[in-house]
Amino acid sequence: MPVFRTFGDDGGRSGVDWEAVYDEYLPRVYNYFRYLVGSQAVAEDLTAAVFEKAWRRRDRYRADRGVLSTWLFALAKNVARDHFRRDHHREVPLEWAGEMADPEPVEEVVAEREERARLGALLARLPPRERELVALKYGAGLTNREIARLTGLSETNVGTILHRVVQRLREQWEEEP
Amino acid sequence: MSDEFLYRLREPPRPEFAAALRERVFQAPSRLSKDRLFRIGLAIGLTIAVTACAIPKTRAPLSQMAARVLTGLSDAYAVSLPPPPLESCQFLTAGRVLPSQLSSEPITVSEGSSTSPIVTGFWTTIRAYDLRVAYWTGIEPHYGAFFQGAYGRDQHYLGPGGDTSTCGSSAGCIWYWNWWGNWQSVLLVPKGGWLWTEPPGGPRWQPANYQATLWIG
Repeated sequence: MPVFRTFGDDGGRSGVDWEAVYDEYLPRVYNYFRYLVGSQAVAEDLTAAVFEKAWRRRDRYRADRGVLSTWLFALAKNVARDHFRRDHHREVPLEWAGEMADPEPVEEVVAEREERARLGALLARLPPRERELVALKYGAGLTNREIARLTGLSETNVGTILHRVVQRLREQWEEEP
Repeated sequence: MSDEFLYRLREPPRPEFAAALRERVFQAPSRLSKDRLFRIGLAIGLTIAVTACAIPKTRAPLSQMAARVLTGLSDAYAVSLPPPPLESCQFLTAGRVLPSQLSSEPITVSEGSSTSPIVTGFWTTIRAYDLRVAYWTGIEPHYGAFFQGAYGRDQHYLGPGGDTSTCGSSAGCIWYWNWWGNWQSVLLVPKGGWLWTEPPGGPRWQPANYQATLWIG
């Protein structure tokens, strides 16, 4: 039985319900990595590293100094950076299809799987910075303002780059059935 | 322009993974709890010591024990120790309480001295006195915030947005930034996403906006 420490474990200083944070942010952090690295197994490992770090360092988070999502995704960015530095590659493996394996897939499942594989392949071709912005926007569900805070780009710049990337991806998406 | 198709890669994490991670994360030993235990232990120890000193029956043996400790120190000669972790307790070995900003060790006892150990240094929180190029690699400058002292740690940014504003830097939040040099008194300040996104003279270029705890020896 897990022992949940919510509120008060940091003396109530941050006023954060860490259990609720886990519930809310787990899917977002996980999908950030899923968009960034592709592989489900790697995404799970990196997600685990983020939450373990966040829990160890929770006394450093100050609610009055910044948004929790910025703090958490800054940790996630660092974990990703360390991962790529270690592995010296940024290729997104085309695992979107295989990992959803089903012994007897029905037609819709097959179609969905193919769609995901195609999208995964399109993302894999993006330059690292653009892929990161896409992962933060569509994987993590961050706003342009939050992305700007994290990346050091201006909010307008984030919007412009994303618009361009999405346009290109959309063209490719429609070109290659 | 529709970007709906880009959301199609989203998926919930596997429930087994989510459950296992939840258990692992929240059952990890808590540093804060250890700190709290340490403080409680210290308070209990002090209470016992003060009570024992107040009772005449126990005072005598305690005095003898203290004398033995001090006699042992009288044979000591100069020693040089690296600074201790900041979390270590705040007392001298001879039992004297130091001001809260000082640490207990290292102390140096001069040869022949018996009762008055000399404090050789202390930890204190200070602000940087300069922000400039620390070193070059080829034509690339590496900027650093310069501090007086050694073994810099627990760094903070005091400018607009505080520590959180540093998280967008290429080196991550300020607590990931590296210390540099033999004395570890220069905090390397990332350029991309931090210094170079602000014109010189702005808050990020002000040395006084960088604060850290350093050993002053």
